[in-house]
Amino acid sequence: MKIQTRITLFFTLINGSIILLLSFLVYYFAGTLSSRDFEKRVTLRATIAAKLQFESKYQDNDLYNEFRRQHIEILPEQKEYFLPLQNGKVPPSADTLPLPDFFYRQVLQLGTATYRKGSFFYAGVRYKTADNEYIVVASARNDYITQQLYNLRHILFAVFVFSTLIILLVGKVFSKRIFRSVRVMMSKVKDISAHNLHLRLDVGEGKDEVAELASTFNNMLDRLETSFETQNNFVSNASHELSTPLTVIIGEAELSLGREREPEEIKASLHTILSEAERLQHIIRSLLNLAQTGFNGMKQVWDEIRIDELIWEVKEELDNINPNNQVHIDYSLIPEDEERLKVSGNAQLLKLALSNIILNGCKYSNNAPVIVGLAATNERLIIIVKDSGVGIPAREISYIYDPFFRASNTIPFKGYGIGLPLARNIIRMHKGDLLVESMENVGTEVHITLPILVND
Amino acid sequence: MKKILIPTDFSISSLNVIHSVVEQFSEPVEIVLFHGVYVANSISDLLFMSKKVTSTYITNDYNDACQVLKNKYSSQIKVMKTLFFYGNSPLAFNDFVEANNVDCIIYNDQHKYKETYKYSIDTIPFIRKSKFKTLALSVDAKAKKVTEESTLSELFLSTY
Repeated sequence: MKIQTRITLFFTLINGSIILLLSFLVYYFAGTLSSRDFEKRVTLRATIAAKLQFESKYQDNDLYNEFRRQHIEILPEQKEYFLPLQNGKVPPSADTLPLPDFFYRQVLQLGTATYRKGSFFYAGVRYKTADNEYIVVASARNDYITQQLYNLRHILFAVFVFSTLIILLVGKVFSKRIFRSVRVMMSKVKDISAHNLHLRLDVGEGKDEVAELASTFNNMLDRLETSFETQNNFVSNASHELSTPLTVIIGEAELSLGREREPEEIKASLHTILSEAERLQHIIRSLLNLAQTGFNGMKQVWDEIRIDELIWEVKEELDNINPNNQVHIDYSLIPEDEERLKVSGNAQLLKLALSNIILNGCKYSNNAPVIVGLAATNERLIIIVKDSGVGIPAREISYIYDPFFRASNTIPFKGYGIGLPLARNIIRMHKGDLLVESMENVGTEVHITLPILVND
Repeated sequence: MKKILIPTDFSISSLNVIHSVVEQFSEPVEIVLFHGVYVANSISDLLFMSKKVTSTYITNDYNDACQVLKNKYSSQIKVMKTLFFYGNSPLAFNDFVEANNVDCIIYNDQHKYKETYKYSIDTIPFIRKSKFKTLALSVDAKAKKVTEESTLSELFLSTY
């Protein structure tokens, strides 16, 4: 069932039951009030009958009779009974009346009593004459009450049915109005697919939940669009990067096979092929690394690592790769307490990330000094890699984590644009953070923060 | 244990002097950094100036830098905290120093202390005029800056 229908039904149910309850209360109170009123009237008849019967001053009073006839209405099936008391007890002749014992008891005790049987009302009055005591009983049928309540019942039922219908209608309109914006949003979202990810929903002016929902959708679309584009870029860049060395290899091979060649020429060709193949291998290996870290498979071994030792190992490795590097490790802020140098992580991956970043520093500054600093706050370890290289242009700094993105001023340098995204993935896996700040032609500063391992 | 008062403008480079302070004293020290805050005398300032306002002055980077230094010299720096000095006169500053039981006030001659925030005041003249033991050290910003904003790297001692 749709929420819209559910809201309509719920709305109708609530309102209908309120009206029903109201009708019952009205009916009940109308019934009790009018029967109490009728009881009073019957009691009055009994009193009048007693006075007429036993008091001579009323009996022959024409004026009184006239008045009575004109103004005191005879009730339907009005009857009067006079029961003389025998020794203060009800006479056996009272058995002809369908009255229970407690009625007589009440009359004797309190002077008056009323009793109702179906639509017949009985009222008894104790009356004392000079020589005897009587119970005067008057009875009448309550036609008014039955008629009135019958009418009331019909009116209330009609009102209930009618108003429930109206509520149902109103509820339908109401819920439709509420969900109109949602329906509009739904149809808009249905239109959005891979080829028109740039479409956005109307947020409107209001700050209600629906507007919030719309802006949440829009945010999600922003993220989706960005990642979609990144993915698209990645595929095109990757295929380009992979095809370039392949083209060279194929070209060289074809050229060598084309006709008879001198051994030196073939050797040169093979050298080119080898270096291109190595390049290809390097790209594929870094892609593999990137994919593995991106998937967050958590298959790696996690150890307790001392970052200062790790940095030394990285430095040794770098010396092998690039003997001209000028990497200086700055221990001027290293904490005295060596417990603060420990992080939990995968040494291989962290080494990969650090060497990527430091190598970048060396590469883009043409082997100018690169400072690797280490510091610790109370919760985090901070590694700062600072170079004085070409830097990153300010407007390109937001793309530096996209795979294969290379800043516009990096054309003279060899690279594939995989190192930094890879490093960031690795740092993120270790619940750390990687921040790059840079000024073009002045230098770049990379801040890596890692949570310090807490030993309990 | 010596208690040392050092002015700060909440820039990382203003903390550089701590390296030299630690060198100067061979004994454990308690470092109290302070920032001068103008005591308001207009009604609106009196209404809205509160500790909340000044507590936003302390940035995360500054906090990190303080923690880094404390960890670096953990055997020598026993306490390191940041206080606000509320006052507009050298007299008030003298009272502030006396109330904090300070042994020595040290500031960096080479550092240009900025009035970083709306209510900040330059306290260097007060320090110069104060009757307490004062020490002016000359600490150059050694590291070469590669970013516009002040970062932790300014604390490093490398000179490349």
